Amino acid sequence: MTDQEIISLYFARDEQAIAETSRVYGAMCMHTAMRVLNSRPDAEECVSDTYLKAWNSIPPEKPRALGAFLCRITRNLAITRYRALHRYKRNRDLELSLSELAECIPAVEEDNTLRYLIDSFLRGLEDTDRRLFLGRYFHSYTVRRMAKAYGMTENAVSLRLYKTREKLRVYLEKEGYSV
Amino acid sequence: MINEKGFVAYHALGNVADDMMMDALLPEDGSSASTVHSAKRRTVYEFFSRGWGVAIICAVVAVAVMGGIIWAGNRPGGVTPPVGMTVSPETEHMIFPTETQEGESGTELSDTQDPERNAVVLHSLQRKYVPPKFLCYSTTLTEGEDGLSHGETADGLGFEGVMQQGETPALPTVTWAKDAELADFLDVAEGYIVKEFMVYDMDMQLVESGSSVMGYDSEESVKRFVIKKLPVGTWYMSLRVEHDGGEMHQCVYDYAFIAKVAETVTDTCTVRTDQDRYAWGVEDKYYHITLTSTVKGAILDIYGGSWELVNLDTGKHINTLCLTASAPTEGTFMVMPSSQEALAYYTLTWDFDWETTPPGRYRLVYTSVTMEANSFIQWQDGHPYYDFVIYDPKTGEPAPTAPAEGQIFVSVGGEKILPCRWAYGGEKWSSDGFRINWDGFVVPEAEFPLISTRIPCVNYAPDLTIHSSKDLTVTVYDENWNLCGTLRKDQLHELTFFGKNAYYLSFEAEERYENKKDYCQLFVYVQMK
Repeated sequence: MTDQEIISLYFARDEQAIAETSRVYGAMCMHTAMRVLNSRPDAEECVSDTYLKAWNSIPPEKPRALGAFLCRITRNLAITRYRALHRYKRNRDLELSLSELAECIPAVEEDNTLRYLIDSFLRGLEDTDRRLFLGRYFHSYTVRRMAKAYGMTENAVSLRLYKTREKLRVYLEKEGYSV
Repeated sequence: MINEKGFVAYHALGNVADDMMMDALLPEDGSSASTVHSAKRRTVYEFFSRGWGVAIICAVVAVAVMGGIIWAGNRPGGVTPPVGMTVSPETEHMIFPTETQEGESGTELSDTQDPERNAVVLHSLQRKYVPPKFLCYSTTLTEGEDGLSHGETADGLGFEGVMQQGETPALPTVTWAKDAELADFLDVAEGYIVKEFMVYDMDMQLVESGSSVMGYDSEESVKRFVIKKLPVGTWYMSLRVEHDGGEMHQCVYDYAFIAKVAETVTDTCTVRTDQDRYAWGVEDKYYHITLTSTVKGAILDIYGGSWELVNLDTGKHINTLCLTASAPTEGTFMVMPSSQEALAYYTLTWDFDWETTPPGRYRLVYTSVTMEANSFIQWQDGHPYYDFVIYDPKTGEPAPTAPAEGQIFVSVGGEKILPCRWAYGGEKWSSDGFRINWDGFVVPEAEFPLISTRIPCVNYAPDLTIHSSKDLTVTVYDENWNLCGTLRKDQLHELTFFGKNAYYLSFEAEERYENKKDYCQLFVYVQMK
């Protein structure tokens, strides 16, 4: 079933929309939540909340890419949940990636200019660097996981991430954002 | 510390364009067809955007157009396949509770604005409906010297409570603490309503149920409902809880737990080795120990406290398991306080890396900036720590050598503890019973010959022999600690009926000692071959 067909089910308020969403994107959402929460029960609940939010959002929303739409919801829900739970269930790797991210992106909330700059910067990166950066800091993959996926050593991945972070930091500083 | 800057940065990164975001997904995550397309489109776009590529493309297109005209002209209805072909994403099977089980009663909804719309979703999103497949967490109900019943519940899903005798002397009540911080942790806040409860006996026969509930008592800061007082014994209980906490949280949850009604307050501590996390000789070389403890106390200021692991042989501090400070240097850590009243229950779970936590003598020390709040806790020897030893699997000595396949020995409580011996390797298992009592005394084995378990061979038809001088309750869990059921000790050959590859078996027996009722619990991991 295509994205548009699934979205049509949402618009028709057909319960099957949830089942189809789960079938097509369930694994993706589960992986996304697991990488942040590192706990299957929490991740399952997060994915359930994702579907609920999708159900409540579509309509009126009509996402062009349902997968991206769901992934973004899951990620946000997962990180929110993690913040609430993290005193009890720590995810060391996520903490590390957050601290790395804080080295290059200033802690400025709700700044559309900053988001635009980040988007532009990433689009200008070489493909692999962009995928590594987003894999690590958006999708929360471990360095080991990405090294295996891209056929690189962990050191190489870490080094490229470091260089990208530095580039981003310098880029944002030139635009007036200091970390 | 919470990395607030990191979280803000994380959110700032959250608005990257869909194509870039999805492009970075690794294949195993089941990226969608549209993702594949977007990546392909961009690649083509980039190729076009490079100047020298245009000439090549133009030449190729020219040839293709010519060829296409000729080909189409020779082909009836010469239409090329659509460019936007559908690529079926590979998605892994995911267990998702989209179906409810038979016997489930209807779900009442609290959303008065659009109940029909939410009804569909709530039905689909309903979490695991548990009875008669219960979760593995246990509850202990005890009657203290004060004549009241105390207890705790823990289901592992963010819902816990305290049982104590309420205003009606003959009827215990289930009470949830309202404390904001606790509620935050438990995800139990105002707006939760228990819709239904059921009590089963060990044979899964329904003995009590009801739906007469309760409301939120603002004066007493509790929610409560009343159930019939249960006799001494073990009971399965389940609750259906509805949460009317806003648009995103209108869900119905089902909880289940085991309630053990005892006559006296019992302090126990069980250390179990989580065998499925053992991986000797393989890549990770991790093993996993879960310490589950029930301590008698009042307010357990678990939030402000921390756990620290010290190697007593070297004095080396292995890691700091702290709730509010830095993350542990390895592994994960989880604390689950059930309540700030009566009995407190918590579970510490973390991974030991063989290389950083070699065999030796260790001490798990609890510290808190508000130790006075913890003075109720009856620690071993009055000290806020647990000692345990990790033995070398080859030599049986607490001295570091390389890990190897074979036996692993774990004991808890230092010299006072009876030996707990775990042997594994797939072909045979043996285990000696052990008993830990945090009241500060340990009954010699001779006085408490509780369990001697020998499982000589575990095959498709497991031949399990249990030697015990006491009546045993054998509770069977799967590898994820989901309760499969219970067996008598002479029924263990029926283990295969549960259809799993591996099980945790919990052997429990009760013993009276100095007018106290104690019980021993021994976990054995069984792998089906």
